[in-house]
Amino acid sequence: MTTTILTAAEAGLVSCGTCSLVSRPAGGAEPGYCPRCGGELEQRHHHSIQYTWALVIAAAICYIPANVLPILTTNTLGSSESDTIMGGVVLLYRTGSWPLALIVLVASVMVPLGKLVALSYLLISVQRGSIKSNHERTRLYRLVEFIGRWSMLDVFVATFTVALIQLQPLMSMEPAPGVLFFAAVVVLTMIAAESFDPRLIWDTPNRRQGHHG
Amino acid sequence: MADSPDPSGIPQATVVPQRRARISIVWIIPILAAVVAVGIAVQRIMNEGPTITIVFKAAEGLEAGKTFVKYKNVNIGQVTKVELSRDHSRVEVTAKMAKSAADLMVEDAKFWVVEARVTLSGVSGLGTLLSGNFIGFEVGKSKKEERKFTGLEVAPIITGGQAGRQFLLKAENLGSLGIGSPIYYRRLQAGQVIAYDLAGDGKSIDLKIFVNAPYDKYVNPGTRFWNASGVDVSFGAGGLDVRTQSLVALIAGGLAFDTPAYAEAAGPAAADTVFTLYGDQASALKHADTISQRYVLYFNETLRGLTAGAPVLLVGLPMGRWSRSGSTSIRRCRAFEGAWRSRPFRSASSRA
Repeated sequence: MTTTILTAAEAGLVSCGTCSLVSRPAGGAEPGYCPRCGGELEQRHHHSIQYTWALVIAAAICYIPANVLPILTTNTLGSSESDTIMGGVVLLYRTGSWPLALIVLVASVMVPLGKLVALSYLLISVQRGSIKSNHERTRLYRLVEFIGRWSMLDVFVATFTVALIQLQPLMSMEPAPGVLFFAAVVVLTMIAAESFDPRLIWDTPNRRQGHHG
Repeated sequence: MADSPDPSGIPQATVVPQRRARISIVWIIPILAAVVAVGIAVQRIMNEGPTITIVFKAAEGLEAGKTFVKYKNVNIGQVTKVELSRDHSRVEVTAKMAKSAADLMVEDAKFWVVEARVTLSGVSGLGTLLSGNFIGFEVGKSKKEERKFTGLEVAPIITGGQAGRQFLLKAENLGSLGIGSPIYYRRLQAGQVIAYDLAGDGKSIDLKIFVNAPYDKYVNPGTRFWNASGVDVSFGAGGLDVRTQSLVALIAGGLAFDTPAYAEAAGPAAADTVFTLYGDQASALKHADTISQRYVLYFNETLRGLTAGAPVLLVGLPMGRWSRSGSTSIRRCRAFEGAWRSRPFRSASSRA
């Protein structure tokens, strides 16, 4: 029963993305506006899969320089030092604070990567018309959406440190190009998660044909 | 009115779902990201300088990723790896150089470790106390590129850009001199000792000195160099005379040079001219005796206090020098007895 649920789309109805009211679409190409809240109705997000793919790929591209390039440059009297995310993790681990190293590793390296993999998996499974483990995939999507807001942590930390540690000429910090790419990864994956329409997970293969795109 | 055909026999038109915009504009984002990422990668590869290896005896304060190679205090490279050589006897330091410094990596380029050094003649490398040691670099003259170098143990003193000339001094012993010992000209620091070595025959010390630009023209073939370390105390008719070049020279040793009036005519000496290093100013500036004769004197009295070099006075003027005391007193020269008195310090006893 779980996999043969009648969806609103199959019943010729459309649910509002804002207030979730299920209504009959207006005639014509566009389903119209929600009668209750006035939000624009969409059967499924336009080009959801294509948009999400584009953003996921862009994020994946940015993920490489985000990890390879230094994110922070520390200038201490005459010498400057650039640190990458992984370099920071290794430094934290070496200095004995492995819990911190773990946090950074999880939050800054594994979470973005996990989001990319999760979104790719969702997209592929939707495109292949898989109807298996719909519940799990929906849960996965919710998780991706949830952790998105936390992964900006690194960028915030970097920005704060840069703003606070300006003890010229003793010590100063400057953001390095890596942090831009890291921020790009986070933003792009957040938008990608947003543009992915979870209702697609529940569409049966034939229903979905018309909404590829 | 034409008769209407049977509608059931006419095929129904099919509705093909409209394919909306095949390629969405959103693909610009990944393309842009790819272009930027590739651009950065290409820029990095283009800016890649050479990787060099420097062999040191010890890696004092050298750390991968933290130690820089500096030339004229500008970073031209960074140490990427510090490891033992294969036979564990030395340290191999791998450094990535900036692209701008690629053409400086020639055969005779010099590398050495710069660390804070506190010597009597000064404190150097104070910056390294906070920033850590770095590798100093000095350009070579060769044109042949090289990627493997042997680091110097001691920093070379002269940097290529400095104007001046090198000279060679021959000294009997090193005394308290060392690398970096100052050289004074009229009590102005005019240069320094840059190297020393035992002469090939082992009988003298070869000192390599460098005299800085404005002063090097005062070095001419007749110039005398002397060891200005310590204090020169002499007691003469004018009273007590204490001479010293500077407090630094007093403690750390130093050299001085001057040209005696009788030798001034000649032009500046060529670089790498060999000079003799005299023990003190007096002997250095002394007019070389043109006619000299040796006398042997015999004394009945004790010759206590009479050392080689003691002046021989004639009516208070130095006429000669006591060259050697031997086992005397075997024979006595009565003729001089009484005519010459021996005094403490000045065993004045001579005939010129």
